[in-house]
Amino acid sequence: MTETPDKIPPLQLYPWPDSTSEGKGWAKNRLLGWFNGKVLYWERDVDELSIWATKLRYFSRMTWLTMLGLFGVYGLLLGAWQLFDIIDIGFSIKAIWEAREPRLLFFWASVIVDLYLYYAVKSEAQKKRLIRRVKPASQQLLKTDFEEILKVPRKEWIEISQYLTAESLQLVEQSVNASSTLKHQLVEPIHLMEVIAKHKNVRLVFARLGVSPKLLSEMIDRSLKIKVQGYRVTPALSQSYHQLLLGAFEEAYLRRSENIEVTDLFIAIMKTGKTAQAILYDLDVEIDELRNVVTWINIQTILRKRFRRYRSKARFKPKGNMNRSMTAVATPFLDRFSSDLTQLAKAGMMTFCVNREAELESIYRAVESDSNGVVLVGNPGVGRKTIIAGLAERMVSEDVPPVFRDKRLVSLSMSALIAGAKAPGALEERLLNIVAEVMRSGNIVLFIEDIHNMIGINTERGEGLDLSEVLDEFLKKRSFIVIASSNPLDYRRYVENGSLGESLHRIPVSEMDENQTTLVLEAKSSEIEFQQDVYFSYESIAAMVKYAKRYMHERFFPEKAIQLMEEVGAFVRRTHGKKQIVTAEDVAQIVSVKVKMPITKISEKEGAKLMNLETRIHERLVGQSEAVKMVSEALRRARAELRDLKRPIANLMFLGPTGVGKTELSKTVAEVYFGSEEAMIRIDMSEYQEQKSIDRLIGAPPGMTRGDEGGYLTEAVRRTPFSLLLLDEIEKAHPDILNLFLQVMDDGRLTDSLGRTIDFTNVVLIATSNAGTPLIQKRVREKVPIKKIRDELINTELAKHFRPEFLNRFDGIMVFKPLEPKELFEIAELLLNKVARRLDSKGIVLKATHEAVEELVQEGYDPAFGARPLRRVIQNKVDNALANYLLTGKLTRRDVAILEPGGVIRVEKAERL
Amino acid sequence: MTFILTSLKIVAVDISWSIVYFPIWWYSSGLKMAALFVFRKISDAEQALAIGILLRYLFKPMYADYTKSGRAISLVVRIIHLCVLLVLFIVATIFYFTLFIVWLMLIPAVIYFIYLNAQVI
Repeated sequence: MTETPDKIPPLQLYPWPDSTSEGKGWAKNRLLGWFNGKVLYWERDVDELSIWATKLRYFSRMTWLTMLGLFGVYGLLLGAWQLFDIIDIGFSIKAIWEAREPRLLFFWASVIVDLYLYYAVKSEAQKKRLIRRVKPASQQLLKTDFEEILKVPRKEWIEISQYLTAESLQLVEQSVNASSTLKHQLVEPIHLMEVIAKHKNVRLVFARLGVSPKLLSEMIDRSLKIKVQGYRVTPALSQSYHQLLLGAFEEAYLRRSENIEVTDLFIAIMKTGKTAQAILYDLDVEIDELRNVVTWINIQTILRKRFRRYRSKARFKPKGNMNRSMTAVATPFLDRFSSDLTQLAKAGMMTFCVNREAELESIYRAVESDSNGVVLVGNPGVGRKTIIAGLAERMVSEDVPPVFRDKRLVSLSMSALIAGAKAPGALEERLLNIVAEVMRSGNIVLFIEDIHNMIGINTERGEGLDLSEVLDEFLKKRSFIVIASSNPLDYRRYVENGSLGESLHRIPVSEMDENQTTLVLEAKSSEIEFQQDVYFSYESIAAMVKYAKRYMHERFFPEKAIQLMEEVGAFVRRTHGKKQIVTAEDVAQIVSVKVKMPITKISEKEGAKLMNLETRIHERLVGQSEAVKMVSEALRRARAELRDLKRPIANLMFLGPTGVGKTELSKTVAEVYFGSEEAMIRIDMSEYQEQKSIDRLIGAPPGMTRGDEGGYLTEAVRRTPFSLLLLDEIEKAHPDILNLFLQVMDDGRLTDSLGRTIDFTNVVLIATSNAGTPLIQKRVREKVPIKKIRDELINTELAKHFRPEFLNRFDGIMVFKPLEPKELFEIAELLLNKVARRLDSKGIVLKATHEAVEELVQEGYDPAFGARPLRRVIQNKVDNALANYLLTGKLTRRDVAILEPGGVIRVEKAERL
Repeated sequence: MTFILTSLKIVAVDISWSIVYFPIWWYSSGLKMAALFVFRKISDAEQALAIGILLRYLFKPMYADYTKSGRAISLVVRIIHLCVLLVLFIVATIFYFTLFIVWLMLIPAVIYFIYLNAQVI
């Protein structure tokens, strides 16, 4: 299906001048097409009279054939009657031969009629013309004018109406009738659109696109009403209609169809009809989407055909171990450690393989040339097993080169091989036995999954040969064919430089791109639709591919998309019920849950929530309104997808003294945007003051101690790519480490020591620093506006620690002010509320008088440390006192504790029950 | 009125042409079709019986028994097997070939019978 498209220049069109010999009326609106060395034209009359004639022909033929059919049956009955009569007299061949009867005359006449009927049906079917593929013509000259086209020899002219399927032709005729009923003077593409929209395939296309059929037909009706009505005439085909017909031929040819199907006409309408294009535009459907959906529907037809062919060929494959030439032997030993993939494929139990012709072709080539075997190297999920399944299927239907014919594909199970082989040499002996059976049988292709597991395994505890070397000995002799699989990392580490690496030809299996994955999903869709009884819309498939690419970096196409599809199918069936259409929104919901990040469309409720983000943050955080506003704006931009997708969601720097809410604001952001405070990766940069500590962040280079573990930062982001990355006290970090973050902030990615690229585009990066704290405190006391303080900081204090390009990468640098007494009062209240909440679970109510809170604030206020001492004061004064009361039993359930100045707690005892 | 006449003319021409073309078709396109059918059926039979494969491996011992006696027994068994298969194949071929002859003879034969029975009247 992925053959490279022929390089055929697009169809060129030439209007037929009125002045030619064909006559004035006839040539009107007609076009000639120049396509792939052929001249295309449409000659068939589709005016009402000819339609009527076609119908008449059809009905008269039907009547004629029915009458003959009746006569045929009557004659056969007469023949049977004659036979019974003869049997009555006494059956003999002679009696039959010598019988002369008028009845028999009718009988034999009816036989002739039956033969005629057979001919009539068969010859009609043979008349159907099929589009033949020709090599892209050498005379691909662009014809400049009509005269030049006329010079093309007549045998290169194609009258395209013969290639329309009966259904398509009927639709064309119906469009003429539709136009005539509406008293329009010309048949336009929109008339065809009207009738074609009711066709089942086209309805299927729109259903997959999620377009309501009612809305569509309303739009078509409205656009038809706009056209000028005249008196009723036999309408002629307009020029754009001719263009449509020629375009449909081009479409059918390019998708390698033998006939012009309804969907080809449909696509051609969308290419040429101005009104139809406008309707599509209003429905938010792109022509490419349309074409993809048509391909989707065609894929299913192709797969059905392929499957039927496969089944009929699979009959010939023998069932047991024996091959057809009976040279094989029974392999009882091998059977204990393996499963026969060709048998599974014959039974229809393997995954159906699409779009893997290139890889299969390279397997054939490698095995047919001089390699001892091949190893498919690819990451988990790229489809190595599916390729093997495809090979098994092709071996069943014998659509393989001679070396693979009449053979079995047997998968060797490493776990079964190793299990229980305790005695010294037992494992090696098993493998040797297996190899011996394979060689004797001669009809076995061995598949070994994850062949790197063979390396270093033996029963002699590391001495002597390992399994791979035992196998390799036979591979070198080219005794049988081995197909293995491995992943790039293990292949590089264990296989490549070993002896197996020499013997096995490496075939890289690369990850599919989005288009190929879409095709795979489309092929898979019918299976899942059947299982779950739901329907996938095109947008849902597109969304699966898009989200899988953007949010599931850990895994590979096409597996991650297929799995997503299965999950979404099951999800829709469970939540919405059967016979529902899966939308992109359903996909977004599942992905949101999987990656713990909001990606669904913003609901009204969530929209309101986002608009009130500042208020929500202030429920937890007191003061710092400038910083809160900037953060909220960044988050709103991110959620509305207006941000740059190639950088982190936001890069922010919080400046200010300790204890003013920098970390608290970060926690709040994590909770609001990522759903929980836990979605925060916190790195204390004071631990990374040396250059060497880079290794701890991104992992030590391979070969060093802990070289394959990955770094703290990269591993954390790899595991939870949707989180808040908090870099505390960034000014203390080594300058080289700052350079590392330069790249993160700019490109949104970082490469770890193992060569993996870690994606940072879904993190909110917040760096905090208390550089320049004395300056901030001094300027705030002088009542300088925050903006000025910030500018001064950037130019003086920050410039000492950071290079200008580093500071430039931040979307915002926010200065946190030292807290004022009024704000501290609010914080004290917040903290007391927390204590109250804890007491609430014990059934005790805590209240505090205004004076008591004031006293706490006064004691806990320290301009150097912000709100942090306050927490300690509350702990000492309130928590300790409460603990004493609780332990001595002075406070029990339903009591009210009131905090009063001087750290006194007054208890209002509840009434005894 | 002329409209109906024209229509009738169209129908009459259509039908008479199809009658004239019937024998021509039978011995041209129809004959080709029948021949292809017979050929396909015979090659299907060859596929199902695997005669080609048997011929190719005639001297290769069955069940990978490469001993002298194994080779001898195998050759004998294979030859017997081949004979049985050949008989089956020939029966199938004759059957399908007969079908082809029937196709060739059908029209003249039927006409002959019509002629015979027409004499009674």
